[in-house]
Amino acid sequence: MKLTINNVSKKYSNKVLGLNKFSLELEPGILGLLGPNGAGKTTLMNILATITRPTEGQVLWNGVDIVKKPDELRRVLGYLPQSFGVYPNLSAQEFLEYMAAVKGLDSRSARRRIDELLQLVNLTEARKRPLGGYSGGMRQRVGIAQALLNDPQLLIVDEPTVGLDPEERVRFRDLIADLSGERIVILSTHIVSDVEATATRIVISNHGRKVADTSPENFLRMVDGKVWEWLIPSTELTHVKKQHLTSGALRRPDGVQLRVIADASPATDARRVTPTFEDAYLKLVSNGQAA
Amino acid sequence: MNTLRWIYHMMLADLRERVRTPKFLVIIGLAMLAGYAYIPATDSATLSIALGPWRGVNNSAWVGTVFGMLTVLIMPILGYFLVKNAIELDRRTNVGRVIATTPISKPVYVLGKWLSNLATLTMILFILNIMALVMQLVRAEVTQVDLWALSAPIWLMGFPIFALIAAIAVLFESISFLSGTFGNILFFIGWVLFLEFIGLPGLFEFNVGVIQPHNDLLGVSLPLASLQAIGNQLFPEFVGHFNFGGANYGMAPQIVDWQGVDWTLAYMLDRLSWLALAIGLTLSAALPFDRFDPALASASKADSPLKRFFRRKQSVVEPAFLHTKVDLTPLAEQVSSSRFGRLLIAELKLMFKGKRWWWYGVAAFISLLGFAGPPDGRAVTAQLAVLWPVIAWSAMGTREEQFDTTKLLFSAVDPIKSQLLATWLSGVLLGLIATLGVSLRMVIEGQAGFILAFWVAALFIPSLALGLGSVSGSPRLFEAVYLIWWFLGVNGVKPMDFMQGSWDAVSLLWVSIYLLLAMIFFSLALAGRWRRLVK
Repeated sequence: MKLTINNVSKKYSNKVLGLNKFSLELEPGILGLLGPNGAGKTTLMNILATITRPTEGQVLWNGVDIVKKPDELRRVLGYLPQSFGVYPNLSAQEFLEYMAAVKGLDSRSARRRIDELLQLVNLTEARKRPLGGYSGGMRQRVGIAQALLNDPQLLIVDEPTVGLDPEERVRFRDLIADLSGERIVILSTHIVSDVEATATRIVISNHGRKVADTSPENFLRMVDGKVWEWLIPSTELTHVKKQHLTSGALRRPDGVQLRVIADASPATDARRVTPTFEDAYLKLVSNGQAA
Repeated sequence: MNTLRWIYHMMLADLRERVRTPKFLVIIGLAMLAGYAYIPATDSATLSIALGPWRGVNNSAWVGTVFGMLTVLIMPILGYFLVKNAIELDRRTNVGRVIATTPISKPVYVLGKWLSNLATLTMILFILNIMALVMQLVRAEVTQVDLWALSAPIWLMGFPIFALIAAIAVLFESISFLSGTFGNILFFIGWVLFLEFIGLPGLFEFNVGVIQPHNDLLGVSLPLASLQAIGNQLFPEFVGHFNFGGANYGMAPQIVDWQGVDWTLAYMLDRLSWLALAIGLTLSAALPFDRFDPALASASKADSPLKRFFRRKQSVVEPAFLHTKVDLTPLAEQVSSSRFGRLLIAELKLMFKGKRWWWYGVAAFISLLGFAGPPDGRAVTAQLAVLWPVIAWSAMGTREEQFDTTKLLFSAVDPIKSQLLATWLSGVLLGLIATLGVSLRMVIEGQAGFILAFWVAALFIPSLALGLGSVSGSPRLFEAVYLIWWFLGVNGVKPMDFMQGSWDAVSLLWVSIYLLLAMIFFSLALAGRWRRLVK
């Protein structure tokens, strides 16, 4: 299975360019798509989910153009949008039954699948309660369950952990990692730690363009030897922040321990430290250049 | 001062939001269309205000009065549907929750929303006023324009009514069970009953003698008395049937140089006093208004006392997201061949879900009445049978938007043809079920021809709902248009009577026209959905 995104652009009616000549080739694994707000992530997700069409370029699913034949992809697509609603009078069971019918599952498969998915997201006990009374986290779980109904080969999850508490976030990441197997998973987010924990490949977008496409290891190598920490008096914090790309500042009784990304040592007492995804991401996004 | 500033900005924001929606344009379009139709061509035998076979010459006074009548008799319904979303918008966008955290009190909030509604409706008055001027010049019987004579009836009659409509909209939005389609239907029926029994008794009847409002909320008594006096003088045999819009006596009407009425100070003060009622009504909305407290909203909206009682016994503990290893069974086939049937059943379930027992009870009663009730009332029963399900039809085509499930549905297989067709067909089935009782009786009595009209109505109504829903993104446009359409049909405006209850025999021509209209509105829904997918 293969998803090819070929020079895709999206211009909105108000002339805003949501995506600019974006290309990518995907095979099974978890792709972490990172980027700040307005980077074009949701536009790309909407195009891949066949909800909107690109203004230019092609998206091919196993060689088939999904603009011309969107149902080829829709049959094997699972999509958890960034924001979505549910019908408040339906229970989780009824909502999933409805979505199974919309996705074209036969009754027997749908019943078994819904049972398994409710168990997977631990909503079996609450399956008969109206969705109107569910918390945000529970609704998100219903969302992931509906995305998995048709055993998708392409699973797109757009900002899935927004609104989840830290524990739920960890569980959700584990779930995504477990689900990857023989499918393509696209995890779009601006929360770096989500990608760090799960992705086998990382793509960074900014201003609608792809600025990096790499493995997690190479992603970290981009800033290897370029991350520094040292202690400064708190009165100098504003001044130093203006001079260097800062990725962290930790208050201590004797001042502020600053973490910056720089090619050369920013101060005589600065020491090199092990880079994190956050450092690499910041460096890329602030440069806006391909690495 | 801060409060005034806040109210001003809220009014401005709401007004901007509303005038930029397609619904506003549609309603303005309807208002302009009505304005055009109510000043017929000078050689036409059709009368807009009919108190006998005569009309006023199209001078400023006459045109202004016709527009004034139009404003108070027809526009309140459209106006209500236009503005009844001020609080809903804050609720849907979560702006309400932010407002709830500010010091703005409930009375100030509802007052602000009333002013927002009134500002929007005032825009309609302006447009009607301009349209009146245009129509006087277009018909050109009298080209000299008297701005006071032209504008006074529109503003003096219309403004207090619009102030009241703005207040009713806020009040209904504040009361949980009146905030949806049920409240809209109630308003519509209430308005019609008010016109018939209080505001303009005799409006829907023949030969009622002198028409005298029991209560002059509409402000029509002054011009009506003057017009009736002329009618009595010219045609003493005329016994007082008042028709507003579309009367034809089969002869060229006599044209009278009517110079209007003196709008007295007492009349103006009386009109002003209705503003006080509007403000009082608005302030009373502060009592039931939940101030965006989700606990209050969910308790009052979703649960009956019985449900709440049983819920106490249920566990309300939120199950934790325990990620357990579950082996998902691979699917044998991705898409089932019997998909459409399952989709249709799912759509039907969704349509009926959440309806209360009394909704089914009334539907069953109407059906039973259609089957076993007296023959005289059969036409009315048939009409009621297609009025009651409006609460279910109105959600069609807008449900995805209302509940934000668009992305989930549009990324599934065949979102245009199969999904839309299944939704439409569920609406058609609803129409057939609703008219089942009266249909069976017709078959037994050998009047099966009328069933054809029912079937076409069952095709037409869901098409109208889907079409208008896709244009406006809200159920209210359909509710407004359908209720007015239904009402005109019930009152014997034959072209609007899609159930053909007022016809002596089934008109195949009109059956065909409604079939065509069903196709047009369904195509509109298809186009709307397609446009949203490709934009």
